[in-house]
Amino acid sequence: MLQVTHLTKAYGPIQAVDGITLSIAQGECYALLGPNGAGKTTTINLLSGLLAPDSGQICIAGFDPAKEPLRVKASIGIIPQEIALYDELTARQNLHFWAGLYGLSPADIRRRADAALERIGLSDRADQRLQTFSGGMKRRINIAAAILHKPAVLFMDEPTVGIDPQSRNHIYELIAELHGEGMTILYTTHYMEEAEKLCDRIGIVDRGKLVAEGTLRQLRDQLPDQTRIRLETRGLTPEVSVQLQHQYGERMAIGNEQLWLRPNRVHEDIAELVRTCGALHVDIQHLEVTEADLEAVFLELTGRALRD
Amino acid sequence: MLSTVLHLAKKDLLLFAADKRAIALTFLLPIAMITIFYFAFGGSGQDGDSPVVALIVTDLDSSQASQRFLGDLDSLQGLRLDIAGSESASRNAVAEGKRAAALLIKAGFGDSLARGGSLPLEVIYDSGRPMEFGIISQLLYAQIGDFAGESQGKARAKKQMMQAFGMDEATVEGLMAQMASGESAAPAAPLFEATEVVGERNNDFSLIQAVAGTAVMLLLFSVAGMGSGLLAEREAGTLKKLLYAPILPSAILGGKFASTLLLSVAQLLLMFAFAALAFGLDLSRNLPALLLMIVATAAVCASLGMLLASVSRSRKQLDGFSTILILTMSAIGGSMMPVVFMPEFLQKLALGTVNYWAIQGFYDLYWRNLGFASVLDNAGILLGLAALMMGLSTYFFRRNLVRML
Repeated sequence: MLQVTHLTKAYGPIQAVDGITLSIAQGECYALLGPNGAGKTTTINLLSGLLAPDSGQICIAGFDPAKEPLRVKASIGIIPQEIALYDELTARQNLHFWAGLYGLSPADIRRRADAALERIGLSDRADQRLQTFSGGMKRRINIAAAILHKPAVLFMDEPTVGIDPQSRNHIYELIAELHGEGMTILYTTHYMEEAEKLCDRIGIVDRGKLVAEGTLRQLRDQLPDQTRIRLETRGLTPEVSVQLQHQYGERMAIGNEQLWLRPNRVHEDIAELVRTCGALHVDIQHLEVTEADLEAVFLELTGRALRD
Repeated sequence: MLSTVLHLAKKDLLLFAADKRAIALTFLLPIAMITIFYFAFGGSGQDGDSPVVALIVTDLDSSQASQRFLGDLDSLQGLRLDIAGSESASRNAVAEGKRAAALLIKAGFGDSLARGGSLPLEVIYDSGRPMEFGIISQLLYAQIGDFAGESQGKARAKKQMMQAFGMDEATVEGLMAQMASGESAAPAAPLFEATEVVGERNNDFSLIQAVAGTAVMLLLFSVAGMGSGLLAEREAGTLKKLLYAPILPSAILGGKFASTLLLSVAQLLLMFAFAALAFGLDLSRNLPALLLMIVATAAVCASLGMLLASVSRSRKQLDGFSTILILTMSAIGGSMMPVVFMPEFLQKLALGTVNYWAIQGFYDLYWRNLGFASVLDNAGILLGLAALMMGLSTYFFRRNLVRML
């Protein structure tokens, strides 16, 4: 359904997308996981035909955005990071407007908008202006607006940023439903939990490069040992980080005031780590022995935390 | 493409309808401004409400002649006399900015008049108020000329008759009285014949100036505001989302233009309808021509709004840029005062403004009463400018698209 080969895009000296190659099958949900500035949104803008790539090929639903941009745009739905709706219009007016851009008949627009409002649980507020809605409700309208024309591929660019847990769960359920219905989804996020929970495969991007991809299991299997000692700390200065890194070498990953240690012998390593932190005046907030997750994979692959 | 443009325009109209402040600014403010400008330009249709300049006067002579002179001045239309008891009071009134000018009728005025000598009058004025002083001096010049000419002419004639015919003063005055009654019986022949060629109009010039000038200026401000909607969409992220949809960027601009055009036409129609209902502007003649001028004016203003929005990087930049441009165009294009009152070089510059061509078109229709054919030139120029500006807007919009995202 979506093939990308050696895609590149630079803004002056900054290489925003650096040779990304990926393929997403029909009905697959694929996560692009990476920190802010990794190149996720630029990739979506390139795939949607909004930006022209410096090099590389794209094929979406059989169309090349460089040659047939309008056909590609008609085949995709995009849920942008920001809530891009008209606050002064009602929920129904918003949906009718966005659906109308895809050449649907008025009857289809009415029917699909009603169904979408029902689906996102906002039928009772259909005729109220969006300015009276919460952020989470607007996010749901934002999603509904992108799927009214039943796109072949849905791009979701960090759709849960800045919303309450209840609305987030609503959105997760909606994505699961769409995935269950066979919609092809490209989902960008910097929340590893979302990628783990929602997607079939995960591509890890950092500094414009796709550094690894596969299922969660495949990604974990890339690690030499999957057990980790994880410490949440306070007062972790750059100087202390350097000392710890020097002491533990490649076994330790540090980022976002967290320490991840690949243990040789778990009990001895915990005791030593606690002693070392005490000596360096690092306050330990939380300590656990855990299975390596995407955060650990990301740290291992890039040397920095996802949310750095 | 057309259906997309109309779909986008419909959305803008819905957004407009939801914004009460925008509705008030678009439709109520122009009505208020037309009313103010109409009265400011001297319109009302009632002579008693003509513009008046005030002159403060001190009569230091207090003779019969000076009182008669003051009576004549007081009867002049457009001049209001305020009497001050002392010379210092008059001087202070001008010095303190309370009056533009003061007239001192000095002692000996009556005697000088009778002798035929120069009149002891002094005018004190504020050079910072040249327009008021110009009107006052014109009125004074004419009135003093008439008054002195009549009085001193009689004095000189009486003197000559007494010398030439050896008559006493009473006899000569009797003869002159008889002559005067004979003169009044025969109507004086006019110096020249004046014929009004611009037309038998019912419309008041000040009303047309107020409606046309104000309408174009306010419309320009309105469309600049509507054009800023494009930048507001960029800030809100909806422009980017529109670009994700299978539509051409030019359709986005076209939709914004179409909605702005429709609202502009509505605004102009309302302004002219208000002028007709409230001030009696006769729109019954040349209705198709009026509609053509309204559409052409709305089109050029809307396209200017699009151009300003397309070249501006932010709404703040657009606000500043459009305010300067619109005020400049309105000042030299005839919105604030008729271009005939301006220096020649400004009159030439006016040809480059939207305001000029629009206002001249409305003059042709409702002042010169020239008919449909007369506005084709003006409407053609306005539509040509609109096409040019839309072409530039499309170019800049596309060029700046990436930056806009």
